[in-house]
Amino acid sequence: MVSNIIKLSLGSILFLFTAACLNKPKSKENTLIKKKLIDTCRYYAYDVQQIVSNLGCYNCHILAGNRLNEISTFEELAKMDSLKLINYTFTKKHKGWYSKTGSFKTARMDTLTDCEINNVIRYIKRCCKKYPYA
Amino acid sequence: MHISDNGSGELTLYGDFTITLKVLDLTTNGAPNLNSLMTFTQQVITSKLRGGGYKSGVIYFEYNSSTKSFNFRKNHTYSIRYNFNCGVNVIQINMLSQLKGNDFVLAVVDSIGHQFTDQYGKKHNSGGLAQRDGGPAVVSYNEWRKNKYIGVHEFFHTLGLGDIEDLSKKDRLMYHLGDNTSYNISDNERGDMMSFLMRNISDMTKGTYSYTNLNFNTLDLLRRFLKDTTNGFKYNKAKFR
Repeated sequence: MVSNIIKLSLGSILFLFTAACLNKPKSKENTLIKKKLIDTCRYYAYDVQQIVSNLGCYNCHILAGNRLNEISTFEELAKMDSLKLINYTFTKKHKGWYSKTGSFKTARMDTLTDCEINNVIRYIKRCCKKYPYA
Repeated sequence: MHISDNGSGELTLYGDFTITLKVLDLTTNGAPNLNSLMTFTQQVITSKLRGGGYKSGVIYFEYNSSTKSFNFRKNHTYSIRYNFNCGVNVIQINMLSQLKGNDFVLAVVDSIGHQFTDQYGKKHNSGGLAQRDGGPAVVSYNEWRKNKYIGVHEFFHTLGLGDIEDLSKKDRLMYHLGDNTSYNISDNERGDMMSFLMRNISDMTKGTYSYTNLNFNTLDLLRRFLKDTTNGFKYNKAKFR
């Protein structure tokens, strides 16, 4: 009876040890991949400004002051929560113009990468916050 | 100001702008070369804004050339040519009372302690600092003397341009890592500045169009900018009262 318990315990330890060894490199690899993804998505204000400029956001969403045709200003957009902003900008709003079947289906908005979308949101959030430029 | 539609998706905007940049000397011992630096800055701003700007793929509201108005229910993708004549005045002011709410301002200080780290991880001293999109600009007098383009660089931040750190673009005026090979402005950047200046194309259809630099209180913005210790401005505080 005692030897059976010892055998069972040793078996469990061996199984746990094997499982731990098998999982260890995998999780390290995942961390590295995640880190690489984070590292490659860097924020360069000038590049993001070019995206915003090429999309022509400022034409309708004027910077501040009185709204154009009741469209939110950039100042108002900057005050929105980031997740709401992604939803507002890239998902639901713009009346579907930028969807695959919309009037502006060829516009770059639909082809932005996740990193570019995150950077555009960061750019909008930074807007009107008076950072110094050297 | 008026808009011309070539019927093939290109709008050309015509008109005259006068830009006034007010220079405020806040240096402790005065700035003997200020006049020549201001003249240089005026000439460069004028030449950089000349020649118009161009932006393609601009999504905006559809323009009706017969009614000379925009249809806010319909969108259209345009190429836009900014064919503006920009008159530029760079003038010196001596009193804060000469600084009105929406003015463009360039303050000259003794030195700037602010440092920035570029995208390659290298630290740089700042010869000038500005707040983008209509905000105040500040230059260190000594650095301005060494690099006469700093005043224009900072003012173009005020007109909405960002800094360039791409080493393949050392020939651009907005490149700010100190080893410029030239000081060029792209048509796209010019278009961005024109777009910032006019703010709202549809206002052009409202007859006499007068630009206002948003609803800024430039004096208050400058006061707060100068007081911000992270910027490290050294200047004669007695001149800013």
